[in-house]
Amino acid sequence: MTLSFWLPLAILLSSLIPGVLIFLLAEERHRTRTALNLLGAVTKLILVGVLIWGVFHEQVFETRWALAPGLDFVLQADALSVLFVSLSTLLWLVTTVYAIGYLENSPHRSRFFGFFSLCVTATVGLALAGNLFTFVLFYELLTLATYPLIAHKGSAEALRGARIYLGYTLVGGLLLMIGAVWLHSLIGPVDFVQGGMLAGHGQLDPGVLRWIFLLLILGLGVKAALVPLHGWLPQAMVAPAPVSALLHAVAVVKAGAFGIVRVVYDVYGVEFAAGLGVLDLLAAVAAATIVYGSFKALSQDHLKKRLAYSTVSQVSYIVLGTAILGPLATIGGLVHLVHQGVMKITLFFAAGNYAESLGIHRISEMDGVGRRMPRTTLAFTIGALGMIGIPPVAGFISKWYLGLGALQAGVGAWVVPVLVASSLLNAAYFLPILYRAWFKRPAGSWPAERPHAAGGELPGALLWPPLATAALSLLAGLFAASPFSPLEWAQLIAAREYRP
Amino acid sequence: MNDWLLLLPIFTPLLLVALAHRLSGRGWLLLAAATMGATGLLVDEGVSLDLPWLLLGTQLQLDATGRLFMIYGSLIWMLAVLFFPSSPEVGAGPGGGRHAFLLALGGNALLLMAADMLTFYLGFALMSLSAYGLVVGRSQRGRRAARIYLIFTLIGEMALFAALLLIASESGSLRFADLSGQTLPSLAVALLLLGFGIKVALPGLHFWLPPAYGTAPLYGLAVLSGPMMKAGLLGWLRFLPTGISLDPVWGQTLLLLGSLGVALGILLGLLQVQPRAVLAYSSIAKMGLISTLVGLSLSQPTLAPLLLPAVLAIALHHLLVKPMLFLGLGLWQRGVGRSWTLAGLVLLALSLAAAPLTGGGAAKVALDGVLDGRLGGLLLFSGIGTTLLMVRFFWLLRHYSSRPAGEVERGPGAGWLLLLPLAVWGPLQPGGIPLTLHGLGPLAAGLGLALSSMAIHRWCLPHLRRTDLRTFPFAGWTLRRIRLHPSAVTLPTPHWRTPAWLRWRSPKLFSRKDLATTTAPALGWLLLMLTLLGALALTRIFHTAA
Repeated sequence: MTLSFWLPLAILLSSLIPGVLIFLLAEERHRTRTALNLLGAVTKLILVGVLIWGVFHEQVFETRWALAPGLDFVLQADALSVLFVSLSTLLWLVTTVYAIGYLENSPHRSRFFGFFSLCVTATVGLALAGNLFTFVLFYELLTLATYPLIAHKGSAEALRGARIYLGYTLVGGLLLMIGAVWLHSLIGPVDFVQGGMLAGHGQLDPGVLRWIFLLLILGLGVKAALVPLHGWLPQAMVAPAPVSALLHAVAVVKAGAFGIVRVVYDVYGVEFAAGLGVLDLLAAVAAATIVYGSFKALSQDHLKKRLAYSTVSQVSYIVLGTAILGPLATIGGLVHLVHQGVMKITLFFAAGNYAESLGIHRISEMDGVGRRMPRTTLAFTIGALGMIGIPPVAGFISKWYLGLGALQAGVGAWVVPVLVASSLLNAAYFLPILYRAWFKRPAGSWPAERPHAAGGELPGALLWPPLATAALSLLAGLFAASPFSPLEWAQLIAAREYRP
Repeated sequence: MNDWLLLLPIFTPLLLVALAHRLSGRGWLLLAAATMGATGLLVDEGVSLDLPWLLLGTQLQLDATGRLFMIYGSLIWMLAVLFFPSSPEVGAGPGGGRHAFLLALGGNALLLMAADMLTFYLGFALMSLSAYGLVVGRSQRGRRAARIYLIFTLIGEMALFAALLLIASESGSLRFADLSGQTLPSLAVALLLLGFGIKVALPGLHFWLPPAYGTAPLYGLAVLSGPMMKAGLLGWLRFLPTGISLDPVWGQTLLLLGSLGVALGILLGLLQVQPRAVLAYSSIAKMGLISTLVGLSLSQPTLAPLLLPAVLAIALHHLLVKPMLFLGLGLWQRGVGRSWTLAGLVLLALSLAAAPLTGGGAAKVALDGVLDGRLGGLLLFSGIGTTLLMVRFFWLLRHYSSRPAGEVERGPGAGWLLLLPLAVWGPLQPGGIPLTLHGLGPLAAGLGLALSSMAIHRWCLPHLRRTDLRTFPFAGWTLRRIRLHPSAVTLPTPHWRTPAWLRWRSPKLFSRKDLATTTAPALGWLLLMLTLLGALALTRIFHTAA
């Protein structure tokens, strides 16, 4: 067995093994737990570095086991999976550091970090899945691994949020499964092939294929929070801040969006799907979600809820980019997969810091917080400006390519206005927060201020993660044209997907 | 090696922002502003720097236009630094506006040297958005003004974003060099007019300007009215294809909007009771004139190569004079050296009104030489109007009896005086300042009109007051109260109700507190004369455009 067989598996195991070990660990052994967590995260980062290098040079990485005749468990690494794997690995490391700081001295940490590792294992499995069967497997695992994380606090509100989440995602998973099985029964194993595998099966009934597409998208759309399947996401904000951060930036929401990308590009093939006429519907839903999410965000006073609706809106950029035919739109959608991740995780880290250090949960309590916590607020500011799409933060690059792609595909007449409207709405719900934080005077006392031992605004484990991800979102935009930037990688994927 | 110097004026301010919380005093702000001028002076024209890894491939280049804007602009940025309070004020945002100042400075330098569209857009966005921190004042009105500024700026940004997308998608290149000689999609041209039109305050897009200029702190006002406003003009010069024929409707639209701006600025400016507001509307008028000239060069491409240098001269002159007037007003109100402040203000006003033997006059001579009789009516109207505005400015100024100066800082006054000669007699023209009396006409006519209206105010009004004016048509509306100066302004009871859909902007446009309103007959008479003249000028414009 060679490196090309073991590498995808090793990447998966680098979080699975620490996860299992942490479950077995006694609650009070936090040093060992921290060491395991960080060891796993760093190992995974190194392995993914090797993977990136290999995939860039078009090496083939595949782990394949036959579970039953015609039913293979396949892990493989193509350019698209590398994009998602590197995002989740990098942000997992950052979030682990943050979670260690955030959950200091709180109960049930073994349970938390165990499921946390499982959650990441499932996400990485999704990213590396080489066929639809493996994808569905990890998709369900992700649903189950995330439930205890959302319910972690154990309060009635947390349990309710988690139950709503489970209800939505189980139904979504079921729809996905039906679609996958239906497709499997028609054409056998559904491998992910660059350029799509259905184009080779010309004899299939297009009507049936449309129904299957609808089922798959409905199943994936629940996690991607497409309107009207988004209801669980604002409820899930009861989760602890690190979970929300991971949920919105990497794990659940992104899994849905990534699945849609997979189905459109590597199962149906984007040109074939456009021929079926299913992409127009998808684009319309995405556009509606973008505008609807922004509108809902406007009226939220709860900071994390506003961020949640912002996610609803922003993740649909990815779907929109996928649903527009043409390499430029593909680049825009794929690069936003990364950009939205780093920007949104920054915002949730900052929101967690406000809650942790001053007890601020609502936007109306944020007056003058910039003076009290300048570094956290700086990170929040960069993330928010990126969401609006102000250059040079990464979000601008996504919007630029989406707009160019829409014009290239001849749908600029409605997509560009949607992008502009979304930017203005984003400004309308983010800029007042920044105004409050930087320009208003503090109201006198904070809701629940916690004393800190150090003179700084927060312990380093809470302060550095948002600063690091804010720097990443700035650098990803500023150096978009440099080698190995998210943009360059998205261009690589688009070139391979549209390879004649 | 020389080309890397281009990064200096961009990175110095941006690096200083990162260190700003450790630095005190104003010297380092001055340093940041000075690097821009130094780069403009030291680096050779045409030097360019390619940074293909930055953004989506950035190219910087120092061309003749950008260089002039950098040199003169940096003087205003430096002068503005002197007007920062020595210790940060409370409530003026983080760092008392210092962060915003540095960010805006970096953005300004970036856009002046940008040789591709995205870099220009980045600089423009950085400058315009961080200027929020320069506009926002401590009062409720100041915050409101800053909010309006921000809304307009964001709309402008979005219009530019869409325009850039259209252009990039059409031409496939982001470089300005590849852009010249290409026809633009007409929607993109419209969006460019909108996006940059907000910055140069075309009529209808100007609503942000009077409140922002009315409440911004002096340091913000100086850079806002000088270097930043001219960035909108530079945007047009960079993006719009000059020298090749465009659909003539765009040139004419700009021509018309610009002339409306002249009329609006002058007519509304005369009604103001705050000296700052008079200057603000004068900015609208002047930028209107500049827009008209850009419009003319678009509709007559053959004229463009001659016309644009003249436009540039006027713009540079305004870039220097207007902030100097605002800052001089600030000094006057602080009670700093009253006699020489007044003398300086008079010189600046004369220069703005294009009096002979001043820099403004020289720019006017050059312009008249190129135009050769075109737009004559508008130029006459604008000349007379500017003179009247300046008279109005001084008329109002006398009511601002300065407070007895306690502890007065010397820095601002000294810097202002140092820059005064350059502002009055600059920008340096190749031929020097011509020794002619050309351009005395509008000035004399304006002064004559002003004197006549003062005479009416002095001698005719007492008689008029005794007669029952309500028998005259409109008289009850216009001559309700005779109020000419702010100390006497009271709020007259409104006798018509503003329709609801207009009311949201009524405080900006029609606030009775800020206007001498239509209640002053002397002003009313002036306005009537000017309107007639304006109508005359407009017919001439249509003639030219057709």
